[in-house]
Amino acid sequence: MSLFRFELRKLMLNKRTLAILAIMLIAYAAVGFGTSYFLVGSGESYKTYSELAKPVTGLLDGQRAQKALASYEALKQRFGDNPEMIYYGTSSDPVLKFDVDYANFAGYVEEYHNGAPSDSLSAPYGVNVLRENLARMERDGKPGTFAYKSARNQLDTEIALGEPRFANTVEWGNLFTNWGDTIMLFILFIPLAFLISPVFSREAATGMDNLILSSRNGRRKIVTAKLSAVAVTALTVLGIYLLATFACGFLSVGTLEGWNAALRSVPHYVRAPLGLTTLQFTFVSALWVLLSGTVYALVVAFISSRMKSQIAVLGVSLIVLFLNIGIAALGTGVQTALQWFADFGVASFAVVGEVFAGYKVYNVFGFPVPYYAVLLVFMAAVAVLTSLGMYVGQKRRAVA
Amino acid sequence: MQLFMENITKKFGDKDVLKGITLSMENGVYGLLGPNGAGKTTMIRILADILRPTQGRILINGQDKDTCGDEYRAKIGYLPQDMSFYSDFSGRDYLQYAAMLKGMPTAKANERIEALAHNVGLSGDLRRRCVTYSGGMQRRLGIAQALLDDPEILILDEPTAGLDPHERIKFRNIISAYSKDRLVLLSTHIVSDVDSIARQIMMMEYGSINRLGSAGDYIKQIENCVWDMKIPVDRLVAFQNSAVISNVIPSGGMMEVRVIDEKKPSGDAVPAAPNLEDAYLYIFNYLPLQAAV
Repeated sequence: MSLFRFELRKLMLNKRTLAILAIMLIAYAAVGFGTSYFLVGSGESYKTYSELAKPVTGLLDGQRAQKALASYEALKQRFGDNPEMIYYGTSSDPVLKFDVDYANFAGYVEEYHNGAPSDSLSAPYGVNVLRENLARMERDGKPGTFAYKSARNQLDTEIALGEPRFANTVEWGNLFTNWGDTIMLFILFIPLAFLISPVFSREAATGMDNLILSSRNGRRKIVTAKLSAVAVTALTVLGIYLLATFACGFLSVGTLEGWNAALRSVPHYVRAPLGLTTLQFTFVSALWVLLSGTVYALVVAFISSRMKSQIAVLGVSLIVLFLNIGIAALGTGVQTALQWFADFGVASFAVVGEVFAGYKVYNVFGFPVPYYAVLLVFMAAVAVLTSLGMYVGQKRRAVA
Repeated sequence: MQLFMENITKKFGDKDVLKGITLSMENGVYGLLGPNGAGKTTMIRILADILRPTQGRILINGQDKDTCGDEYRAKIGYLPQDMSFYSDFSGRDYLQYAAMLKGMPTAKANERIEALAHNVGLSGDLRRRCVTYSGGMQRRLGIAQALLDDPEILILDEPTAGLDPHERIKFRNIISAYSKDRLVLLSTHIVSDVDSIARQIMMMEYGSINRLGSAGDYIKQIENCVWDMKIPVDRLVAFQNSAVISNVIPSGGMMEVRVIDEKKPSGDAVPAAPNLEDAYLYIFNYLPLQAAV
């Protein structure tokens, strides 16, 4: 048995962890099935919704939109102005739910052209708004600035992708919520941190570091073995989550309808600057979750290499996980001052919905580089630095 | 094989735990004796490469340990003072894991595990989880681990703690046979572990190795310093406060006492043949007592 297999056994292939993984599989299956079921209701409800969506799949149907908006106004009378109340209030009625979704879609089309009143000045949206901004910058003699290049790039992207198109993507939207919402940090990243946290700290806690550090392979190859075990464990946990939520989410309706619809027909991604189908974006999301989760696992492993107590490792790992949420809670002023932390904290880069849902670029030597591209470089740097840190730490580690 | 420690110093905060130890060792058994807190375990850990000295260096066959990289540790077998195990590992798992850490090929490792398990009397217990072993069995497992890849340097910290007399004798025989062309450093409180097998014995106190010699040298040093005498029971308590006693045997209504003293302690005291334990007491108890007076 190789050193890697022993490390994998210590971390994952033991009775305790396998039992935890089995429980997690059941819980994730329940998440996938439950969120899907409560979205539209039973298979019959979904069928009704699907039938309603078919005739209006594509560009906005003005007549149908009028009808949906009228229905939406009536629902406002019943449930109040809060969109969430309306959303939950209509989830068991496919006809009403469809009206709500189509009314919202009409709003998205309007936003595509003219933006929304809630859009901030620093993040404008809407083809006409962007055109006006560009014209103003040209008048002000700023066509060479980063702001101009960015706005031009955004406008070109929006025009190329075109007006949003309606499609029945409720189940895909649900899947992307499960894979790209903050809730994932709680149900996936916290258990992941728990499973990875003893990878190094356990050696100090049990006293086995006496044996490890005095051996030929106890300073370098052991780190490679542990890192490989961390990666396999992380990918297994993340894979279980992705597969369970995907399979059980679609199981409740029994169809992959909407797989070839544009990503921008999923409400949360209506502003996504990506010309992908929902199925293509599923692969992108899965890869992103696997990548960001593995990077976070490496961060936890690094923390574990610096501490002796698993509880302390877990505590620090959770602080790292939620650091930028904490910064956001401190108010807009603090968040603006610490924008870099907010953008590059785990709770941002691990949440797919935060990364891909809208147009966001960074100024790299005067060129607009997409947020996700910058994050990829950042995650690669974190992975390399934490791995190097573990090798250096193990080389210098001592038993006092 | 030559292992040379050059001016090894270790500080923990302001405390000097090792004070510039310089020492050369070659093949054979070296015993390291000293009271608790003398710095034995710190020195052992530095030699085992799990602790860095504050100052000084270690040379192996003339080459600085730090330039040898992993190869220095490849030459070492180490039995730590405190044995630790993973709760779900069997004895075989533990030895296989140690073999992988030492970089042994699987087939050779399995062969050695069987042979060593037989040597230390654990053949029938390798399947059991090692946390269920008795203290003595765990110690024997640790000894097997240290010998696994036939190391050139064997470093043993309190190897016989928890072993019964039969096991200790067996252990001594294994080490004695093993040390023919190997360097063995054995740190212990138990003088009898080293007196018959050690080529050299180091006496360590307050972070320094004050004496180095064979068992015979130490014994020779205290000739005419060991006495047998008889005293009444009621005088024993008062007597032991002012004298160093190595043994007491009840004898009728009296106590037969073995005393360490450069002068004849009483008129009826008769000279006795010294042993290494007497030498230990002479160095670590009698001389400090005299210095205090």
